[in-house]
Amino acid sequence: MDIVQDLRRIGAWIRPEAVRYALGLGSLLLVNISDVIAPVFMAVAIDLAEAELLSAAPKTPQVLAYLGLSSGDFSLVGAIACYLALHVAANAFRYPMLMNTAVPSHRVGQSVRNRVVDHLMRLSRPFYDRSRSGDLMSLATSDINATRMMFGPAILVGSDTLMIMSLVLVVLATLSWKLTLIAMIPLPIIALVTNALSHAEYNRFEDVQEDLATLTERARESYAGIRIIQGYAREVYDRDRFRAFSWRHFGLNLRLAKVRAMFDPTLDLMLGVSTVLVLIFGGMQVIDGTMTLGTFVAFLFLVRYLSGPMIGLGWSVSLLQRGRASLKRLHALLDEPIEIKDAPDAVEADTNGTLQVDGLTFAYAGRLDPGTGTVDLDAPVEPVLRDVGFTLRPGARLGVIGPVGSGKTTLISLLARLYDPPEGTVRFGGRDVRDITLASLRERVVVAPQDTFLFSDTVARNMLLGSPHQDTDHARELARLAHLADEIDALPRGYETLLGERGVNMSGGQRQRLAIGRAIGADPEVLVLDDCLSAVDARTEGAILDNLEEVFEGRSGIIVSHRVIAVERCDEIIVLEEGRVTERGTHAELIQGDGYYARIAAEQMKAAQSGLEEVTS
Amino acid sequence: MTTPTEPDNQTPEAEATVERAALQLARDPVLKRMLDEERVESGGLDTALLGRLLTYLRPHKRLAAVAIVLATVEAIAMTLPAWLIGLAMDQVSGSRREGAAVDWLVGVGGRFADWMSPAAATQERLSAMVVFFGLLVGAVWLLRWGVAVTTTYLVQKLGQLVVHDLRTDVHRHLTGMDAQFFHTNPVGRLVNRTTFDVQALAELFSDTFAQGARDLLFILVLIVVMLALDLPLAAILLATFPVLVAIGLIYRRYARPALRTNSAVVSRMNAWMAENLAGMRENHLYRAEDRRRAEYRSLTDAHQSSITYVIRAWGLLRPAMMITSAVATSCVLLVGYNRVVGGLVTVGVLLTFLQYTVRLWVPVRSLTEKFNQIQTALTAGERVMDILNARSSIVDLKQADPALTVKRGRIRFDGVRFRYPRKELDVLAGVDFEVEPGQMLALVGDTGAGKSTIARLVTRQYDVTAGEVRVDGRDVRDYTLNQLRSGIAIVPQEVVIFAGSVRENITLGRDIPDERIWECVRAVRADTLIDRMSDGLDSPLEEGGRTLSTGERQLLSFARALVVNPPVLILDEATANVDTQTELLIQRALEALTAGRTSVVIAHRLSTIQDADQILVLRHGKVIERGTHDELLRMGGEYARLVELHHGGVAEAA
Repeated sequence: MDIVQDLRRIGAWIRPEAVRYALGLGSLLLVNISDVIAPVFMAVAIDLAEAELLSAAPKTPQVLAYLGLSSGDFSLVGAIACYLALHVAANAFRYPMLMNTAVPSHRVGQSVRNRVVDHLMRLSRPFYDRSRSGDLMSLATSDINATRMMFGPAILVGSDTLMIMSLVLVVLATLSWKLTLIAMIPLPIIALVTNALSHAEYNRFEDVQEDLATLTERARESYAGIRIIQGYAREVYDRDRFRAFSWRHFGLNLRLAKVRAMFDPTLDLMLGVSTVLVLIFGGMQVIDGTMTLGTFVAFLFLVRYLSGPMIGLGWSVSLLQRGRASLKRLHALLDEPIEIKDAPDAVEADTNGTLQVDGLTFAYAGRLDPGTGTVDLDAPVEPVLRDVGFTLRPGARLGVIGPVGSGKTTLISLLARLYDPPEGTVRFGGRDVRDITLASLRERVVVAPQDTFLFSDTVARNMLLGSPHQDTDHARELARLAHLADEIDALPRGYETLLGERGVNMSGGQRQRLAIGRAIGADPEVLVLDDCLSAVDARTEGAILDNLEEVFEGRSGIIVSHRVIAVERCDEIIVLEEGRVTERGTHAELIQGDGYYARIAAEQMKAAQSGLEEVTS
Repeated sequence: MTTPTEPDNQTPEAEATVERAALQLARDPVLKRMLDEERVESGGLDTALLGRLLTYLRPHKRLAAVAIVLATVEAIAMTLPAWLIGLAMDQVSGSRREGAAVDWLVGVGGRFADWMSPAAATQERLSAMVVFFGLLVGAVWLLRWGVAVTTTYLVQKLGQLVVHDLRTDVHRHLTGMDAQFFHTNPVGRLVNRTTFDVQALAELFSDTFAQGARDLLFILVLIVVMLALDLPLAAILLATFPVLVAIGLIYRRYARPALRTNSAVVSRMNAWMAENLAGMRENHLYRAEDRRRAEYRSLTDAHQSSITYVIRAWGLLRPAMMITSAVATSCVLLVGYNRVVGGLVTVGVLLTFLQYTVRLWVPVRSLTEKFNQIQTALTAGERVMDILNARSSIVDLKQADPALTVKRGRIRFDGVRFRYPRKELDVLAGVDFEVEPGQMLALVGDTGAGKSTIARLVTRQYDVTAGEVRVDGRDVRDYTLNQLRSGIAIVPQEVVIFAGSVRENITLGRDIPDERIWECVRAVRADTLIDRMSDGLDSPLEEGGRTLSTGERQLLSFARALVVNPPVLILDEATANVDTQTELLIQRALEALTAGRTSVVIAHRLSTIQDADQILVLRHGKVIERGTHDELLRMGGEYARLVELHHGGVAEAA
């Protein structure tokens, strides 16, 4: 059963906090008992007053009569003292109640968050190719919030409802069961209305949020593209366009406001209906003499306690419904299998092993639809690599060259096992990479990607991401090797400058050089540079290539590029075209041929001859 | 609330505790910066700012007036049921009460009773009276519902209207700012000002002001009603107000720093998540998984710590207020008893008071919570106002002639010097040149030599420090910005693609016939690209043009420039790597683009500029060589040397 499974899951999450929850719900029970009994003493006081006024014997509310007490047993001060004491008690218990439900519910929320992040860290490339980051974001934020609301407010309010309903009903029924039934007439309606309203509110709120993202994107576009907008003197058009988006957002907000405006007044109206019923029918009973004036007053106050929980019930049911749906999605994520992981009998990689690629043919699973961003797993796919092979001995250097889309990056991704190569096609130290622990493989084979990602962190910590040494001096050394030192020194806070969203922006070329530094910092045996000099100008490129001579001392390397100058010093160069190795050899050998290599070498030389190629950027 | 708004300076300890706890758990530099930024100022209310914000209500005066009237009606309707119930109670218990309103109501009730059961027994008459009052209470409650729904809606609408106005104002203002402003303000910051900060102000208008005003009105009406009913009992209730307010202030002191810290932690967690999803490949490649887990765990710890402070403050507020009101209720009961027994008030009046006491704390609590919002919103408001106060240094001058347009495209620099704001060195140290209509000028030189600056001065992204830039013989400042820029198209290095159709991206919203668009598209050879798309010119493009390749984006950018048919074209050549075939395509498109118009090319590849009519070699802001490709080669200077260097470099490699 679905619901049984959900309950079991909820139970499993809450179990570590079971004691706290028990304490919290216990406190809640005490709160409710005190709260519900207090108005009875108000009734006693009123009855005492009335008796005094009419000089008659005070009447006794039924509840007290059941307890064998009568109003006459209390002095006015005594009754009021009881009333006050009960209220103080009720509120004193409110604090532990909240601290033992809200706080642990947040703690459960944190463990959900941590579990989700643990799993996200372990999931591999193919999963991320299949999923949209927006979806993952909403899992990690709104879905976790919704489950937290289920673990916290929904449970608290739900229990509150059940407790106070039964308590109030008991007390009211002993006061007058007839009037109780009458006062309860609007209750189911309250629950239904609350539930309906909170669903509507939720949906419209989601619409507003979604639209806010669009609006934000429009604003971002205006400011990021300001040079074009101003350069073409199109400010007025852009403003009109933004105004239209802003106006649509206004409309959606108004739609939400309609539901929100209904919310409180409607619930208040339901309370009003109950009050009117009590007033009319209770008033008649007082006239009949079948009810004391005090009891009538107590009723008026207790009715409030009835409608409160009904509002709460509607609300908590909708929280539960949302929370369940979110928890289901979260578990779907947590159950997502980890495709690339250590084999059961995986071993550490040998040090200084030979990297061997043999008959490697590889196709991605499924095809990415650029329109929707989803992957169609059943779509027929063409292999990206066909029968690729090479051997990289310790200390040797391999150049990989080829046009855009020839499979260079895919080949690199397979070496670090971002994707799993077919069995036996990629070996390190003679062992299939699939039999090596991921950690030890990625310790030895490190890739500097073409378009690397910089985190919102300091320059130093970005540079030292994979490095065993975390000191700034080391970062300085890496910056020197990557020819980035001067530019970092020019930053406002040097190596402590924050990058990313809230910090400084780096240009494409700077990012690439940081990526190179980062990769060197990981101190790999095999250093793989995936076309990460493409946005660097020719002069800097030359300097970095010279520095790399020093870096490659004692390690092997793979340099992927579309430019001859970057690979010409390699021991072996392979040319990839449409996923196949079409040429291999040294620079001297290949330049003699009449293939792709010789052709682009000539083109690039001609470009340089005809002028100062890229000397300026 | 009667207390003046106090500055929040007396709270540094409380603030420090929560923040320190959070920062100790998560030693996160970004979180620290966020908290620092949030703490900008916690001074008192800035009345000038408040006043300026209120001017945004002016266009919606009538709506605001209606809302205020309705809110008053609502406040009265809120107090009525308890009073009516008390009155009904007096009828039932046979007590008599004085007053014109009472007499009138009882009179109407009597006629209702007569109509229901004419000449019946006293008891039945009494029952009829109860029914009458019951229905009356029901009617009032229904009215209250209607008024409350309408008021809430109108108030929300008012707030949203203000937000819409403010949002478009900010956007309009920003799109008119100069290049220097955009250089110093990251896009992300400007976006936040336009959406999130403005949104925070919305809450100020619709939730805080409006709801706060309703709470205040309710309290005021309540006080009037109570004073009219019975002075001593009213005095008890009035005496509880200061206590409630004091509790509110204490709460505020503890809750505010906690709330602020918590919201900073939450935004940091979200940013962390977005970032690590985007950078997951790097996390895997560099085995940073454990480090990331620890980072996130420390953030969730900080979240737990700060939320605990929030819950604690909240867990104390409500009980404290409810205990206060229970004490008040007890006092009312005690005093009321004596007054009822003494015949000074009726039981009904006592009941009315009892109903008021139990509700008293609700508006006070809600006002207390509103106060936190005011502070947050005003901080946001201040940031928005800062933006609106920023002035663009590049504006149309008085001398500008709106009728003046760029026609032929002659460009002339006369002794132009330029220094960027707050920089010490001149980027251009006296540059002179002239480009005849239809000619091509190429700029060559190292990074920082001043090539891009020259381009920026032509379109008046900046104004010269000294000297003069002339277009068609007139100083660029004699043109309106609009006319000047309409005559000069720029093609930047990094192509900007907007989310929208291909057509919109080419025309930028101008009304241009399809034939003309196609003509330009074919001229730059982007037709095959558009033919491949399912909806032709109407095919949607994603923001940033992610679905297009670098070369394809470039071609669209060319079409965009060509469709304007400008006398002058400024081209910043792209350096991005494209394959040889695409490069050829672009090359040919460029020829079509520059034909027959003046062009200024910032050269990164030499193949483009070999045919330039004039090449300027720049170094440190000065023209060190000028001439055609052949002339410069023959001259044997810097240009020739650089060519030689690279020629040699590749030749040697070969």
